[in-house]
Amino acid sequence: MSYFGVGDLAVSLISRRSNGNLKGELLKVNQELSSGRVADVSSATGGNLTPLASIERALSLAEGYTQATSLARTKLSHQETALNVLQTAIEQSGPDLLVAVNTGAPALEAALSKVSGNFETVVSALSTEVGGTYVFSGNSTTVAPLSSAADILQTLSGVVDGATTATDYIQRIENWFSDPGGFQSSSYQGGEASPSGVPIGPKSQITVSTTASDPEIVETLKDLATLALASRYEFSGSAEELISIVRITAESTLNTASDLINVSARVGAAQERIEQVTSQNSASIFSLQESRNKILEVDPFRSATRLEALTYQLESLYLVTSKTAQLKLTEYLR
Amino acid sequence: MSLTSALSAANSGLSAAARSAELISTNVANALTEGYGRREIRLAAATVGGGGGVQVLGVDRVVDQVAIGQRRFADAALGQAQQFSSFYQTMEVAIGTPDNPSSLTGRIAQLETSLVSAMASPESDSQLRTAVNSAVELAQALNFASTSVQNARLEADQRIGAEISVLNSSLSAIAEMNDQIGSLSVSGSDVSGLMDQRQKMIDQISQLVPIRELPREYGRVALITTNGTILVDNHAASFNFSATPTIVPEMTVESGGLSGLSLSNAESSAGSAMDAISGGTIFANFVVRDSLSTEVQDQLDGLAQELIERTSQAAVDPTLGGGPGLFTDDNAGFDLANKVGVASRVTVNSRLDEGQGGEAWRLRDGIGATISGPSGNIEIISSILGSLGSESPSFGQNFALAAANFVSEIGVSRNQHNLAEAFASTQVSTFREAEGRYGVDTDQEMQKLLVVEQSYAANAKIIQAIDEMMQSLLRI
Repeated sequence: MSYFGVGDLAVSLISRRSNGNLKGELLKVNQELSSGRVADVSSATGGNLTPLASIERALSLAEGYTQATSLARTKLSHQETALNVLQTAIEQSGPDLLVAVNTGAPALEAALSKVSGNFETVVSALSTEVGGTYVFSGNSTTVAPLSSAADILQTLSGVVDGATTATDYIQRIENWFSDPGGFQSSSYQGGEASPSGVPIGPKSQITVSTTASDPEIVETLKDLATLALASRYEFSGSAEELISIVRITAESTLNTASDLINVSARVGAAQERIEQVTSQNSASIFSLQESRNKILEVDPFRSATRLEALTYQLESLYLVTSKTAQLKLTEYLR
Repeated sequence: MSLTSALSAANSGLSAAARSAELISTNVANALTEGYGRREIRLAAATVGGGGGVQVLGVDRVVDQVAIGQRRFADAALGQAQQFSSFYQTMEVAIGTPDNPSSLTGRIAQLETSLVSAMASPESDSQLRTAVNSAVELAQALNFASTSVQNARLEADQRIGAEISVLNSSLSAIAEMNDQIGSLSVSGSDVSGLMDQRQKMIDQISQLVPIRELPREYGRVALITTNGTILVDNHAASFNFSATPTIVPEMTVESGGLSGLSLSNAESSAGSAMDAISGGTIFANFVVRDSLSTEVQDQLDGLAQELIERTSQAAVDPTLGGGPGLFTDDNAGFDLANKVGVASRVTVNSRLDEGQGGEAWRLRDGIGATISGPSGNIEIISSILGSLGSESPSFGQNFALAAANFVSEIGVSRNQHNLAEAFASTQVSTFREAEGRYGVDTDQEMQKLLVVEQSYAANAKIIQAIDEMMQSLLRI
């Protein structure tokens, strides 16, 4: 007998498979719609995860750069403030003294006592710290760059003891400041500037290279220390020699002041670079996030549309299944 | 004489109708049974004794043997694709996708970022400690990935063991059933039920090994693999395999650490046992255990090697004194002879890791340093960062990119095998539906039953009529 039928099992298998497929896709679309993200990153990108990895790495590093730039910015701004103090002090110390030198002893004494405190002010400014690190100490950031102003003056007092001429006096002080065994070893406690820069961007670095042992700063210290010593009136030479000391030093401060501007300029240039790099970093963070979203995020409109289509399909399948279930001969033979 | 033969013909009609009804009811009862072959009655006019009537020649078991054969091959292909797909899925989860910060690539990015932060505040002990911890987490990620690979191998090995024993017992059961069917059908009994069972058993092993069923006489079958090895004919062959309780990266079949497969008692075999089982889940598990996972392990070991070598370069840290740097092979330097499994042994240098009694300030001052140095020193941290990012002649691209490419390879393989699995799955469904078309259709059976009812009634009526005729004879 020839058989024209289609097995029951086959019919139910077909509808079960369709149902299973639709439900599986429904689940996935649901998840994507509610989370806004692709459910399976690997299959969404076809397995090519290298671009995503590069983007994530760049974003992570960008966080680090942001922190580094903000720390560098703080450090440089403290340096700028301190250098302003030095600039003011050194500029103040010259002109009045040069006038007072020609006027007479009482005027000189008054002018000297006014500038005598400048050395201490400058030493204290150079010892600025922020968050436990000293900004002028090079790579020994936890150590103050200079010994106290009083100690330095005490040492210098010993150095000039016995000098009777202005040239000798000034020479001794200069020797002490330039001698590696003098200022460098006994007063400057900081380290060297770091040769390497701190990374602040993917291809940018910054070195905060100004320390308290920079020549222009040492010059400033030398001039102001000399004036502070002179104001103590411990000089064993004549009064004319003393006036000479003050005049020569006051003239020197004019050169020192203009040299010091170079240091401020260097700091200013570094600050400008930081701002430049900061805005570059922000721009690149934004575009990296855009790229990442393109890979990971799912368009909610597309998901919602797909959800509608699937729901409709599933409902049609249910309708067909129930209709075919009723079309059984057995029903009619009851 | 003709009346009695008419009676016997009508009787035969009744019994044929009864037998038909029996088969119809069996069919309807088994309408939802998978692997059931629809029963059809074979009738012929009776020739014995010169009289008329109908005889039941036998019961046919109707199946679409071609569709079944195709479906079995598709089952094997699906099983294989599933094993590969699930292996790469496991690997992808263990290694992690880049959007996840605790993935392998995420840990590398974290290490580099914490080194940047450490350069920004090198005097901060907590920042240095954070950087060392990031390195520890990276080493742990590599360890974990390596462990996952070996676990996958172990599971594959155990699955092989289980599947081989199922295969062996099924083969001997099929051979037994073969004999039973053969002897029963010679004596003319209905062997359809036993054939259903045998088909089920063969379906069971078709996923494990792709198998071809060849008909032999008297309803017996022979089972042959794709390369012509006979597994069942007059008797069953059996496979030999022993599972290994724990597996480490150095174990391979060649080294004798892992068991291979051998075949015994086959009536004819071509090639090795592995050639015989090629294409099913057992074969797939062997491939996973012996080649896919060793490949992944080798790539992981390559990454660990690169990590150790990059950070142990003499130029990175002048205090190294020839020893290993930030990353080590269990606190020794990298040795090519010990490359296999280094990913499971890579650790952060014990002189840095506080968990191993080290000090985090050595990240800044050098691994060999005995006392801490200037707190703002960023030279060594800078060269460690540089060693990871550098595109040097000996290392090619930067380390993060090497890792990302590795992750991508896993992702691509996984997607490929997912596609193969989806394709094989559709094939299986299609063949199963084709096979099912020959199955029981209750509507058809109901129609047949209507006809059988009529036939029974007609034959009964004839007997009634003959009875009346005889009665009238006897009343004479």
